[in-house]
Amino acid sequence: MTAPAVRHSTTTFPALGTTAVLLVADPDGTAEALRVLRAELAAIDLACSRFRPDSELSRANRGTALVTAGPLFAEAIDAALRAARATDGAVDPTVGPSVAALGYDRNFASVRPADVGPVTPVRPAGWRTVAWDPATRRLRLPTGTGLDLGATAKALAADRAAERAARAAGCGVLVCLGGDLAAAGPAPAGGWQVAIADDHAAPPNGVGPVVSVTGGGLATSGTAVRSWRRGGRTLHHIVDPATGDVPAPFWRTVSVAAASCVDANTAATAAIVRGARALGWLRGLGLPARLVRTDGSVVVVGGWPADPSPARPPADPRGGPR
Amino acid sequence: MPDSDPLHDDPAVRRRDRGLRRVGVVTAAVLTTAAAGTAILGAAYRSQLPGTASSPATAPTSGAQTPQSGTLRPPAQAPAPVAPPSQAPSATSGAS
Repeated sequence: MTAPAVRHSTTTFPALGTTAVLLVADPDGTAEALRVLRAELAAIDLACSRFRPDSELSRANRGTALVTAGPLFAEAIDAALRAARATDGAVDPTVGPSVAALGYDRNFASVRPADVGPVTPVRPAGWRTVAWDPATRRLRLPTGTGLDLGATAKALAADRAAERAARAAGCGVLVCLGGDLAAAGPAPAGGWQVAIADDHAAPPNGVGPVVSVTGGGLATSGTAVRSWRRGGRTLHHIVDPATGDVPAPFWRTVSVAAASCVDANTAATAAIVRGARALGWLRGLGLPARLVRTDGSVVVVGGWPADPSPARPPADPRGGPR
Repeated sequence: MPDSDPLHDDPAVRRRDRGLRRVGVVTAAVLTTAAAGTAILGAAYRSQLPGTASSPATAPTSGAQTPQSGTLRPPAQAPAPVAPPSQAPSATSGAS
């Protein structure tokens, strides 16, 4: 469904250690949508941040005592465990100690890029060891287990914020948090135009393909961004739960569209972990996806549009390559 | 030799035997009730603890945004190509 063509508003600001972008189809609704988005971001940070000692996640990770989760933290745990179940454990929220062992044990801006210490992978305890009762919202983690909700919490925030902001603003809204985006409400005519890139911070008019989306979620996971060197190896933040180490290099970037941003980001992260097996898995789920191999070659599945051919002559004969 | 055992014919012995049988029945009933009660209370206690058979991490989700099923859902509409873009894209999806 599309709304009449109205030039939307764009608001960009730093959030959650990355960049938040808010698009509002009717600029008159921007203030209300922005208020909702900021409140949602503050709430998810307080519930799920790995780097805030006062977050619910940090408190749960500090001990083995029974913790009663607040409603938002509970929703984030639900989403993380559902992601683990849907991916047969390829996306596992218990990779916290594994990610820390690889050197990502603090805010990324503080990760020591020159650290030459050896890497000793730590296998996660596994999501099935998490004692979680969604009815009572009580959580207990085995000793040595730590949750990392990085694969789902930001996407959950995008889903929640888009849905609520669209209701508050009374028009279509797109929320993009570090490249994970969710759209809700009627999209503008032609849909929301989204550039696909290795790095979410790339300029939108870069060389990557552009697609339009009208709803749901779209997320990109990759190994080229948020990477560091340690022990003579290039590491990144995506961990294979089967080994506790980074997955064998196969895909550089995976973009997936799904009914929600949580589903899209779950599938994109799982695809990086699954490597060559990801193609059949994504096809089986019917998820539109664009996968870029480490050599730069591109594969699309599930109805994702093919990249424009680079050999095609420019539409404007006076113009150069775009 | 008499055919009957004079001890068994003794009314006092018969009363003692009946008493012993009653004690045995009552003991068995008490033990059965205690075992059943222990099982019931144990099951009730277990159901209140997270991570047990009735509430494992694989239990269905309850979040408003997360569906009950364990599968990832495709979008209502796949992304559409935009080539060439009529205007600068509004957002970028990339790794972060």
